[in-house]
Amino acid sequence: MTVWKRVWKGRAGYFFVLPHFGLYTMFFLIPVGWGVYLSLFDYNVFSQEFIGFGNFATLFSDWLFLKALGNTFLYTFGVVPLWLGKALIVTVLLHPFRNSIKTFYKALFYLPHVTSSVIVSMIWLWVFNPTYGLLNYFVKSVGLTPAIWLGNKFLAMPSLIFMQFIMGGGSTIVLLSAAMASIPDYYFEAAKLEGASSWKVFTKITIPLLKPTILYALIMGTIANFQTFSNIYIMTQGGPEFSTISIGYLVYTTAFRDYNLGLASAMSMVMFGILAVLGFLQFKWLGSNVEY
Amino acid sequence: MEKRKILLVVLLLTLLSLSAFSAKMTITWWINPWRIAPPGFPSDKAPSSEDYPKWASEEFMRLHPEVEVKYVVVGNQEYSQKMAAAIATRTQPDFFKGPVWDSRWAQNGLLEPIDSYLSEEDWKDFYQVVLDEGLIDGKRYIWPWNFGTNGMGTSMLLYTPDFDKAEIDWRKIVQEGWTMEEFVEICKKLTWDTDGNGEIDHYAISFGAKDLHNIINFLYAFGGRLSDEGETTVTLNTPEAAAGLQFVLDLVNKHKVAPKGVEALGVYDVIGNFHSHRTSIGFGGPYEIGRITRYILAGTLKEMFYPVLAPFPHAEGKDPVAHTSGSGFIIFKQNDQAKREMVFEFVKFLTNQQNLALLETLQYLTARESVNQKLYVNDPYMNKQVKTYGAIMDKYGMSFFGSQEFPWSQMEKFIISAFEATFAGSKTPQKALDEFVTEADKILKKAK
Repeated sequence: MTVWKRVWKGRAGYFFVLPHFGLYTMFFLIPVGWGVYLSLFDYNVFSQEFIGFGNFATLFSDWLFLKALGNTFLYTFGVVPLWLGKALIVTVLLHPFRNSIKTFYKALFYLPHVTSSVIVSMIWLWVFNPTYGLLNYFVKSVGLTPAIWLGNKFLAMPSLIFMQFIMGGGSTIVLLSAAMASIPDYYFEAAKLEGASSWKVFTKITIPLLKPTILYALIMGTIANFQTFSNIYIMTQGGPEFSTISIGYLVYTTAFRDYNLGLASAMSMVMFGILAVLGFLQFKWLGSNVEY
Repeated sequence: MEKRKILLVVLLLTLLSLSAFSAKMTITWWINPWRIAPPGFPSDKAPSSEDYPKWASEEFMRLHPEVEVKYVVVGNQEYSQKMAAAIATRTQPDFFKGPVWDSRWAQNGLLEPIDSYLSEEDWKDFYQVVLDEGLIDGKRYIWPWNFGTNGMGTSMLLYTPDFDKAEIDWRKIVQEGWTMEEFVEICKKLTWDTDGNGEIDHYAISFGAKDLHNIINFLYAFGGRLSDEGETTVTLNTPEAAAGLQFVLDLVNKHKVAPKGVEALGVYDVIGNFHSHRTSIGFGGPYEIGRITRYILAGTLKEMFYPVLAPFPHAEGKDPVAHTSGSGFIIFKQNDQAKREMVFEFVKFLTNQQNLALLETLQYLTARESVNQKLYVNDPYMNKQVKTYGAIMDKYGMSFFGSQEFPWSQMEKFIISAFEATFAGSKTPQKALDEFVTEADKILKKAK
């Protein structure tokens, strides 16, 4: 059967997919394709000159881009495991409770997710304020020396990771709770009857059976955190001394402050490539079918 | 049949020409949030950023019924990205007033030069410094509107009750200025422990590493300059500039008259400290006094207070320095002659003496000398502050950030990093400035 015949045979399906595909093409595929095109140009709003891979060569010899790349990895691999760990622990702790209590806590953890990240960043800016902030108030009250959380190049990134750890992970908790609820109880009951400890149950039953959901949360968390922007834009603007500059923030400043759209597009392409590789590796190492 | 066809064509042509005659000329302009009160606005309310552009657009349409004016208020934060996107997609407004612009727009022929539209009276009345603000390759591209910015890096604000409490003659400072040594001694007197718990909780002044204008003032006051005369090389790492930065660092670490954590603070933290009387010296001009009124009306500040304007301190044997600039409307290239004329007509309308005087409600000085002479005649306090501000700019004014062709916006992140490193103690002022100059020179050479 030729391609056209196969298409004609499934025309009803294609017809229903068409509106979504049209929008997807218009708002995703074309802009991405345009981004790839721009990355090959010295495109600065005023002039366009084809330079091939010149932008990529510039990027990999630019210490600021390499620093932003390192920072982005640090931030992502700092936040995502903490998020997942927190979500797993909260999910397991909530599991034995009745539904109303579970729902209450899930809503509580999910709340920051529906709050504007700008507002969250503003609040944490006050929390981290060196002179009048909440954190240093507690630090002083226990007799310790207050720190300049966002002003010290060694503390700024851990502070941002800490903030994201506290505020994030709500959606992962909801996902993991749903996945956990679908695991048949007799696995846990059988394990208990066999005398398995709670730790054994957690590592040998809960985690393996939650693996597909964990994988999904891991990939989505990695993608989301790799593109982090608003908290850095509001709280540190990449400082102090570029210790918190991320690729997302550098793309923004390169495109909209320096008007260098070609270079910014090349940065986005590098980010896209890294995320594709990370996604592939996560699938390869962690992907497995689970049946129960 | 033939007759019917001819009749139909004639009818269509008539309709087309009628519609062409009745179609209004559309002018689109962008403005960032300027909370100017239009004529007749209630004095007990804080104007929103929409009030002024709405009034101006409607008023111009009333005077020119053949024109439809569309205004867009664009926030300061997103202005740059929206403008870049608009230029890239050829959907830019006809003219704009915003916090950003790039001299490359003029160099690439995207803008209309204004020179030929300025009347003889305009040339005489507009301050030269504001006219020169948009001077690129011998042509001007900014139609003057305001003189001076919010006053950051230009003047200081003194909270006089604290000065009185510390028995400091603030009137002498306003009239005669103060040397760096006098400034340090006064700052020491203005730093105290309010609640008596043994910890300093009230400081004379505060700084933020991201609040560039005010720190750079000290670098300039000691003799530092951003670049050489021809703007061929960046020079902000001279011993004089390093001494200026060291002086500010000493205010924090050695004299302890400013709170630590400068590396983490920005301009709004500094403003907040002054508004909440945690510091006695703030920064800015009449606009920053207006901010107090606006915050009161908006309910974000509880108690009204009336600071006085004073010059920045000066190094022994040198004059103080004041960052001075102006801004105005920038007109994008118009292909239609009639529309170009109308756009300029609108800009002239916005900047005529009567409408320019509306800047008074925002405590801004206007770009016209004739208008400034009549401002605040019924408000002796503001009248005095505006006169002081004008005198400071007139005597000591200079632009800290080079000409419009100087790529300062691309260098900004590196000077912020240098200041952060200095105040965090990870680099000496000299080393931090040396590193800034290395990066800034690369940008300058690329731009040239």
